[in-house]
Amino acid sequence: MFCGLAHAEPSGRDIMLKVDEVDHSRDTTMMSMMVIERGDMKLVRRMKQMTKQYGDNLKDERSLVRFVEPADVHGTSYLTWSYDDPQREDDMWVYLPAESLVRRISGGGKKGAFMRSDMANEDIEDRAVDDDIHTLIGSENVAGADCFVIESVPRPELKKDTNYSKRVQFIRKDIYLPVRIDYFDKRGKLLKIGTHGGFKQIDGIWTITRTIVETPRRKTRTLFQRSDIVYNQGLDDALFLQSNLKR
Amino acid sequence: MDAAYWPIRLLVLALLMASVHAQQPASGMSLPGDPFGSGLEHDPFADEPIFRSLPIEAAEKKGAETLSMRQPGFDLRGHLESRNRLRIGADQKLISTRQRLWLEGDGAFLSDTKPGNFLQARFFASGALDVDPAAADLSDDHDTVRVHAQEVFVTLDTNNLDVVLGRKMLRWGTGDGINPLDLINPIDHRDPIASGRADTRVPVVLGQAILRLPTFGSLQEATLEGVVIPLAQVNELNAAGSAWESRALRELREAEAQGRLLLGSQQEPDEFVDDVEFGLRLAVTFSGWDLALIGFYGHIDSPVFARDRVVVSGGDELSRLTPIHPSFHAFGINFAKGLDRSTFRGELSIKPDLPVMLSDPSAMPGYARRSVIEGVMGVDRTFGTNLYTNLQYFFTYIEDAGDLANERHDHGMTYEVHDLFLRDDLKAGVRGVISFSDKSWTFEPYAEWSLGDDWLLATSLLVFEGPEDSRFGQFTANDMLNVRLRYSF
Repeated sequence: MFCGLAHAEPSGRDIMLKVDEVDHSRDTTMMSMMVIERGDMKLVRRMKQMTKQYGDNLKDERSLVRFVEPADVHGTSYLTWSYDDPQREDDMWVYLPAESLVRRISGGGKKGAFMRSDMANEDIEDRAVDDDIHTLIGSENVAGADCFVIESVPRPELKKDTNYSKRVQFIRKDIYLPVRIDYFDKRGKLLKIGTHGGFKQIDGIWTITRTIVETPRRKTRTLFQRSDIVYNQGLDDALFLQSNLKR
Repeated sequence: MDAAYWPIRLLVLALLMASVHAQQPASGMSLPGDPFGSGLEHDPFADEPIFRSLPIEAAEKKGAETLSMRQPGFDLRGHLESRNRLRIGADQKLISTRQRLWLEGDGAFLSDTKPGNFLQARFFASGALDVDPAAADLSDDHDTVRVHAQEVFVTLDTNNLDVVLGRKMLRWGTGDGINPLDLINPIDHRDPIASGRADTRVPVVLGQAILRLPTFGSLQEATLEGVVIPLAQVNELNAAGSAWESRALRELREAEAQGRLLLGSQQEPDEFVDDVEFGLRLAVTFSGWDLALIGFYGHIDSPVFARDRVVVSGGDELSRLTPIHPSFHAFGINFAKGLDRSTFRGELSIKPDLPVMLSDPSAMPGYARRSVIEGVMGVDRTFGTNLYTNLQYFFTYIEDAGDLANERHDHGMTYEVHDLFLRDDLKAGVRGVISFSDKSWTFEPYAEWSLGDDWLLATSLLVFEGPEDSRFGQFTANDMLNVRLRYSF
């Protein structure tokens, strides 16, 4: 009996909680870079990102994204206050420098593409573990690493806010980070594949620094790279306020 | 410009590739099973060259530069734009052929974002070189060639206080298209129409201070903002012949030409300190709500015409109408609230004793002061993936409006619907304003096509309709085709 318990597999939710705990930083700054490949055309986006954790268990998050490139959106900034409580809606604002306007926005655009890339806005937001029902469906070796295979299905009340009927996540057993995520559309067909890598331990935190998201139907893919990652600098709260969004 | 960087990029690539290969044997930093790892034998993606491709590596270098953006430095960018407006009515005339070089830059003198020692000093400047022969042919509002500064200001940010000094746009409203509380920046008389439901404004010289207040409980952010405009800026009247000369102004000029009255020159505020404007805004965020209380003292942007009688040659008396900008004050509240996939916005302003024109042609001084209440309430929502809709209802209520000239109780709606197509490269939709009171409206189908990262081709058909003395009907001759091509760099 003990043997059985000792070898019992953790539940899908247990694994995803561990994934959620990998980044235990108080705050982060990084540069992010996207190259969107559409045949011969390449679109390049660069942005500076800052995040800071809040709340008693540091599960609430405030993030600020400032676009650096392309030139026509330089300075456009998104401020998001997201909450671990699934009942509480995120607060979001955008600053549009061309219009000198700070504007509250809602989550209505979550299903849209992020800056014309293969990634949806919902793919880059901080997703609470309990926004999905996670089921461990097996183990698999992916790219030489042993992985848990987790099927994540949105909770019924959140299905209307997502493009996906489910995501199948391949979570490395050693560092609890996804190496691959398969996204399935509302009809249950494979929509796109996200491959993660460039795993680096930065300030003691295992970090994904490179991602490729491919959409086979559109024959496009997006390369996503994070660099200059610094954890726990002690960023000032004032950075994550509306009043800091201005030019 | 890009071509000039190719040799540098190739050099950077070569150096980085050499560096990567040199480090592989001793690396030990990659994990087994890293699809982008650096050479593990059993890694099927070990040779994946994607992230060693030129754009990424070059961008990494640029990224490193950008992280120092808040350090002393200067970042310059801009665009070249050809914007052309062709009347499509009986008079098929180009009313604007603006060719623009726009430059803007910003930088930081110093930066420290550590808790308890948050300090940033930054500057921003923008300006343009415009060449618009078609508009210059129409009126004296435009020179063929114009070089002008737009925003030029410095900002000092500290833990709890931000200070801005310079020429700046400052918007306090939350509504779309109609903003009763956007009282700081006047309308750009040269080019007042930005789109079928938005106007164009010009920056003003101001001093602004934003004080962050302590928060408690569910109060997440609170700021008290003060702004001082040492010399009020107002809407300039359009020159005769301008495409945007109002019908009322044109009739006054015709009456003056016929010797029926005298039209004085516009008396814009011109005394520093005496013609000051200032405002206060208390803004809070709590439980998903943004709420702001606003108070403002200043000079009305659109003039009223003060009437007096003057003796002209021959001893006859004539009415003289002089455009003036009396002072007024306003109080208001605005809010924004996100709810599910929608955002609700609203503004309410009360302007006690606002100068408004009287209809009696013999009344002196031709205008009176009445209390005016203006409001906007609206919602925007995204349906499906990208179908964006925005509806805003607005109204104006004027106390004792029966004896007023053109002002009246007014209400209407602004609207916009657009969707994205062609892998989000194409945005297409319609937008406009409807005034239910005077039965006039604008309607603008439009499309914006992004070609790669740097090029934008935008076109629209802007239609004005309504009675000829109505807000939008007076510009029916300006129904126009807009074509805009922009290259950003």
